[in-house]
Amino acid sequence: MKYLKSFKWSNLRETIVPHAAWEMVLMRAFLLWPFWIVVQRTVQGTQPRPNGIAHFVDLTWLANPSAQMVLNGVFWIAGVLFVSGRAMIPALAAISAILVAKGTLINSQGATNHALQLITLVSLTMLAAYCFRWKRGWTRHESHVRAVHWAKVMIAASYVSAAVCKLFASSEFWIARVPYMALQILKSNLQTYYTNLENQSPVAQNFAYWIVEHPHLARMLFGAGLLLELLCFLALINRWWALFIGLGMVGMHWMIHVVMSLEFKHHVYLLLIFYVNAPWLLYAGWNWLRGGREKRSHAVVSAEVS
Amino acid sequence: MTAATLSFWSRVPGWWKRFWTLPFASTFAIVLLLQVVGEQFPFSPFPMYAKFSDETNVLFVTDAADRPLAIAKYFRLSASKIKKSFNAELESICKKKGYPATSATDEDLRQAGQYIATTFLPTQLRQNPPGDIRKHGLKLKRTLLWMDKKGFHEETAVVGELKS
Repeated sequence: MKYLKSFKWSNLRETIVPHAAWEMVLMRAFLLWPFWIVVQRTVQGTQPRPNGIAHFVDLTWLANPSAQMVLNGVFWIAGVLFVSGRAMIPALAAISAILVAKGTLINSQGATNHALQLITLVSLTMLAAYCFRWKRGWTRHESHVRAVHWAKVMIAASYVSAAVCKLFASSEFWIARVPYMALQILKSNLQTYYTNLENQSPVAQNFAYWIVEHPHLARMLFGAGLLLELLCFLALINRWWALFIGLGMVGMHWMIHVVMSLEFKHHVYLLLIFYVNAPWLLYAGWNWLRGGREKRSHAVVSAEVS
Repeated sequence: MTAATLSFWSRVPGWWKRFWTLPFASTFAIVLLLQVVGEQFPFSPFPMYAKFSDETNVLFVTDAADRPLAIAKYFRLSASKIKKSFNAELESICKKKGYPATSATDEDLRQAGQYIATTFLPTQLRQNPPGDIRKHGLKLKRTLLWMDKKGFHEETAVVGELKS
């Protein structure tokens, strides 16, 4: 209530959260894991349908096992520098180059994969943020804070872009066509079955039939997801907005995984690292508990004194 | 601010300065960039499930005796990747003929399917697959799924075949 009374529209503005140095070290350390998943992915040594830089560069050498060993070595040297906060521009340049090359080759096989773009864009955005602060010193605390902020901006922009596609890609309103989502769920379920010949998920099948039987409820459910994507930029207001939006998006990805067997692991990692920021949440919770205990002990002492 | 910075700032157009004072301007600038650049890795407008059609299809692989094969055990692929590769091939076939892939004929579907079965899939084979598909052959099948007021319907046809 107190918050609602003090609410002002002018407060809904993007702010750069002053993260502590330890928080950002942990964020960078956690970020190495999704980076590493991309780096160690095996790739096919062909590029039948070039995409991105593969139009100009032959990337098939990445499939060579000895090249992979070199990439792993470069990645870990750059990774250690990246986590320690030293030599950020060379470290991120090396990591970004590996991610771009690997992702491009994976996307040049004839099938567009949307799992790797965001993690690569986050790496490139952080690199750009450090480059912009070249003269002021890329190892300064302020530079790290800004790089983390721009990573959050990139994540928000990707979700808003996904929502914009939904709103404008089709001539009909996206919400109106939500019942046809049932067909997509059945398709995903069949594809999962044919990939491994394991039993189809009964949850997914039941959900598909539920959508057809309750189209308006389905529209409300998927509409909430669309709204969450569209308003993802609100996560840039402060830590609490980031936490709520982050948890909402992680929940949405979990539902998509259960119903359609579609995993967006890298997206979930990024949301957990930059938006949910569990280490800070634990720290804030611990401080709150400690503060509460101190207040209670002060109250007891003052009651005894009086 | 130095004199050079002030001089540069005075030359920046007013609408550009005003844009950056808008709330969340940086996010919307990136959204615009992603929409304009399109699908060129690492850029993407992230159009997953932006359109729902009233029909869709699934591609799968069977042996010569029509028994489905577990795709991931034989190939470094999933059923969804086979479908995306098939769609990309179908699109390029239709583009050459001057019409969109949505107007593809049965002949176009078979041509794309034959390319996937005979050219694409053999290059994606795992090192030690459970069976020798080159020796025994395989079929690429396409199940068309659609829905109307009566419910869900499906129809399966062979679109490509690698003969033993």
